[in-house]
Formats: sequence, C-alpha cells, structure tokens
Amino acid sequence: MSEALRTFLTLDLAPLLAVTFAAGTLALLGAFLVLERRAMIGDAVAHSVLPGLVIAFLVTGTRAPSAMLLGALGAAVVASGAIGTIGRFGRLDPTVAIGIVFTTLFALGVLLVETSGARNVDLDLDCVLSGQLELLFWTPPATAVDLLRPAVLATLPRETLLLGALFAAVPALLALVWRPLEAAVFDPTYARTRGTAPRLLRAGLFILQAAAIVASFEALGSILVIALLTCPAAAARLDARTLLGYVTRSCVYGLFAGVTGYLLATRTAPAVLGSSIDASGTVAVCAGTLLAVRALVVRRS
Amino acid sequence: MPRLTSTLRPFAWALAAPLSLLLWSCGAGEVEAGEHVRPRVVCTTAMVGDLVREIAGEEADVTVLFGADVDPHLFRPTRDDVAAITAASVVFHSGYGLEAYLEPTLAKIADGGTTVVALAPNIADETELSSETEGVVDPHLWMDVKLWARCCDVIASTLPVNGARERADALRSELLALDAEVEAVVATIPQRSRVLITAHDAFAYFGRRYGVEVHAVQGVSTASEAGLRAIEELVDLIVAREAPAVFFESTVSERNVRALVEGAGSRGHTVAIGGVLHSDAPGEARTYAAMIRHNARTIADALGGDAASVTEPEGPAQ
Repeated sequence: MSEALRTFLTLDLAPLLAVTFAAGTLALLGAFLVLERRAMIGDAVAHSVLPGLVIAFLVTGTRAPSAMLLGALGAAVVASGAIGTIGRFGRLDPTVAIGIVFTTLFALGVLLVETSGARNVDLDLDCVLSGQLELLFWTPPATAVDLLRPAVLATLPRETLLLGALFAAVPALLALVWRPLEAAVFDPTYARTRGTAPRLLRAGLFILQAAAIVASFEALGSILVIALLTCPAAAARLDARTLLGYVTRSCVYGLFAGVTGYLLATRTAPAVLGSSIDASGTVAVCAGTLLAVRALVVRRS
Repeated sequence: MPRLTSTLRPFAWALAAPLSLLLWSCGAGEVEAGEHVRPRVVCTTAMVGDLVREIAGEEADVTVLFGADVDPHLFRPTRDDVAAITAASVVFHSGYGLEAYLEPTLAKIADGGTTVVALAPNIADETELSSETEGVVDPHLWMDVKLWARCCDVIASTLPVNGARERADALRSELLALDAEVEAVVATIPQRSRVLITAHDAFAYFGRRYGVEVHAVQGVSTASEAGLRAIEELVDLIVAREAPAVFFESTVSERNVRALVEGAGSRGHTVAIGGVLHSDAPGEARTYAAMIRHNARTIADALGGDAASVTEPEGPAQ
C-alpha cells in the first residue's frame, strides 16, 4: 500500500464518509424543515440537549459517549415534539414555538447542573456539540484487500458507522411512506380523510430529524449541522417544481457541499496555503456559496 | 421522460465538481514519503517538548504540537496535528487532564499501538500531588523544577535512541541548577511579602517547592469561569495581607486580575501589576527554562526581592 493511500485511509476516509453521510441525511430531512419553516430547530436542539445530558449523567453516573448520546437524543425528541405541540395548540408560528422550547429546556438544564451532583463534573454542551471531523481518524488494515472485509470496516469510528446507518435508513423510510408523507406535508386535512394518520407520520419525521441532528453534532459540530439543514434545501427550493424534485435536489446539493468542502479543506488548502484548514467550516462555507450561486443563476421561468 | 431528466440534471454537475477536484489534487498535500530511519516523536506542550528535544538530540524527529502562546487547557487539534500524531511512534504529553480536548485522541492512538506516555503521572507519587477539589489532580507539575527534572529518566527510558541516557543525565543537572537558582531568587523576597496572586491556579507546585503562598482567581483549568465570590475573597486577602502586587498570565485573559486591582483600589489599598507570568506555555520566553527563570525573577522583583543579586548559572540551560 502506498504512503499516499495509507495517509488517505488513516486521516481522511472516516471523516469524508462521515461528512458525506451526514450531509446527505441532513439535507434530505432539512428539506422538510425549510418547507415547514422549522429550520432553526437545529439550533434549538443544540441548546435543548443540556437537560438530557445531565439526566443521562445522573442515571448512569458516567460521561461515556453512548450515555451522553442517548440523553441528548431523548432531549432532542422531547424538544422536537414540544415545538410541534406548542405550535399547534398555541396557534403560534413555528419560530415562536422554537424560541419558547429551547430557552426553557436550556434553563432547565442549567438548573439541573446547579442543583444536582453534576456541578463539579465538567459536564457541558461540549460533550456532544463540539464534534470535529479531524478527530475521526482510523487505523487502516495492512493490505488494501482487507478493506472489503466487513469485520475490518466495522472498526471504523462509531460516529461514521452511525451516520452511515442513518444515511441508509432515512431515504428508505421516506420512500416507504412517500405518498402519505406528501399529503401530510401539504394537506393534512385531506390526508386525514384518506385515513393515513398524518400526525403519526410527522411525529416519525420529527424523531428522524432529531436523531440525525444529534448524531451529526458529535461528528461535525453544531454550526455545520445547521448549515447543512438549511442551505441545500434553500438552494433546491429555488428551482424545484415537485416535492420529489425538491427533496432529491436538496440531498444532492448537501452531498456536493460535504464532499467538495472536505476536499477543499484537506487537499486543496495544503497545496495552496501550505496547511490544511478546518473541514467543518469549509463545508459550511461551501453550502452557503452553493446557495448564493444558485440564487444568482436560477432561471426565472 | 422530461421529468426524470430534470430531476437528475443537478446530479451531473454536482458530482463532477468534487470528482475533478479530487483528481486534480490527488497526491498534492502529502509530500513526506520514503524511508524514515529516525523515530518520529510528538510532544504536546513546550514544557514536555524542550526536555524531549534535548534528550533525543539528533537521533529523532521531535514535533511539538502546542505553539508558545497556546493555552493547553483549550487546545483543539487540527488535521495537521492529527497527521503528526498518527505518524508518530512515541507521543509524550503532560497528563492529569492538562490537554483535556486531546485526551480522547491520545487514548485512541494508544489503542492503535503507539507508545503514549503521560509524564506527570510517572514522576510523582500521591503524596507529592496537589489537588484543589477531590479527585482532580492539579496538572501544573513543571512549576516545581526539581520535580519536573525527574521527567529526564522517564523520557530516556522510553526513547529508543543512542546516547539518550547521557543527555538525560546532563539535562537533569542543568535543571537542578535552575531549581537552585529559582530557590535563591525567591529567597530574596521578604518573608511577609511571599504571597503570589495570579489569574488561574497554576502555581501550587511552585509555591510549595519555593515557599510562597499562592492564590488564584480561576481554578486549575481555565475552561470554567471565575465566580464573583472568588474575586471578592481575593480582594479581602490582598487588603488584609497588604500584598504588593498581582500577576497576569500570558495565556489567560487579564480581565479578572484587573478586577482585583480595582477592587483593592476601592478599599484604599494600591496593588501593582507585578508583570506577566508564563504559566501553561512559555510565551515570549520561548523555552521551559527561560519561562521558569522569567517567572521567578518577575515575582521576586514585584514582591520586594532582589533578583539581580542572584546570577544566572553558566551553561546551555536556556
């Protein structure tokens, strides 16, 4: 195995896969968030996970990543559900509901930290929010042939495998319920008369979104997650005519921003600037640039 | 199928761009290749790196990750740092939570078969450790030069290079001379003025070894913020003890220490800024030895001692 290939496998394979999987999943699910004007839920989840972390710590007594992840996921699902419920029963705009829920949950988290035994433990949002792509390095096998063995691939970082599972599951689940989902998003009343339980479908979508956001936080960091939820979908909205076209485009734009941004940061930057630059930041800039370019050149027909 | 093609059209250019980028820059970045005879050694802080460099001599490639002005408590690695760590055969770090954000990475590297050595846990037994809160060890062991000199043995027995033992012995005697110098410099401070007040709790080992009472606004890590009560208590102490000076640290914000000066001023006691100390990184001093010497002399001069009366020993301990 050549030195260049070994370096790529050690330093780049796992982060590149992680950012690709996450970008595809987030852009796909973000398309629905942008459509329903709930895009800032990414930021809301980032703050809402604190009580979940504290409760997970109090229950398990450790700061192990798996415990923190489960706590964060629980809090994210609660936050997502609360935003939907408050919006509907309070007849409020989704942005208002988001503002109410995440501040309340964050305050609850601070209160729990102060009053519980967690005070002297270094327990903060960094546990799950400050993911860094660069840290997902991997010890590759001795020969290239071994790369095809499932047992070897199973040693990839947990973050990458989790995001890969989501990237496989989310499109499959969406395809499975596509027709009813389309109806539930655009015309809930019609969907209910057809007996397709739009509320249940949307609750399922909420849970998927919360899971994808939390899983991406620990690998990518919170700001990139929000960029990937919004920018590709906003760009896709400019020229899509059907829901399927919109969602597909959003996903493709997300994949594009993820792969291009990662390669720019780790391949082009060393050649041009002499050292690599932060990958998460570059991917976010790519997503923003893509939206800007798309907005400037979109055909008005 | 016009609908399908319009759905698929973005695929074409969206996938072409990253692919061409990958092809164009293939092999660009990684220029280091070929035979590597000398072992690659990576160190985290300058306090570790200076010792390792000296002991390795010409026999190893030593990389120090943290720049001279980096706060190790808050350091986050870049891809180039990760590349250096994954390419190393030995990694030396300080330990006891100093490199908090790097620790998971070091654990992962150790699992992969790289030798990872934390120096601090290898040089002191439990009775010699200082800890402010239960179970959290103060990681700033390098402030006690006599204690830190024990690192020489640990490094020499880990590094598989020729002459490491001899160079380690020479370095240890230089460090012990530095230790004696610091002791002499601090001894010039009048007994009642030996109160050292700094931005964060980095000087416990210094205070214990050289006989100075130490107080700080922030705890042993700079990651958590200072409370109002901590500042209030320190102001009380400064006024009661008539402390002549308080000190900045080069890697920590000056704001909290300024609050002390203003607080004491409003109570009618003028306390001076004694200067900038280098606690967790050598800063302008550039090396471990120069940083320790700078700290001792700055503290002595500001607290009424006479550092100039103690001459620096001859020799390469710069």
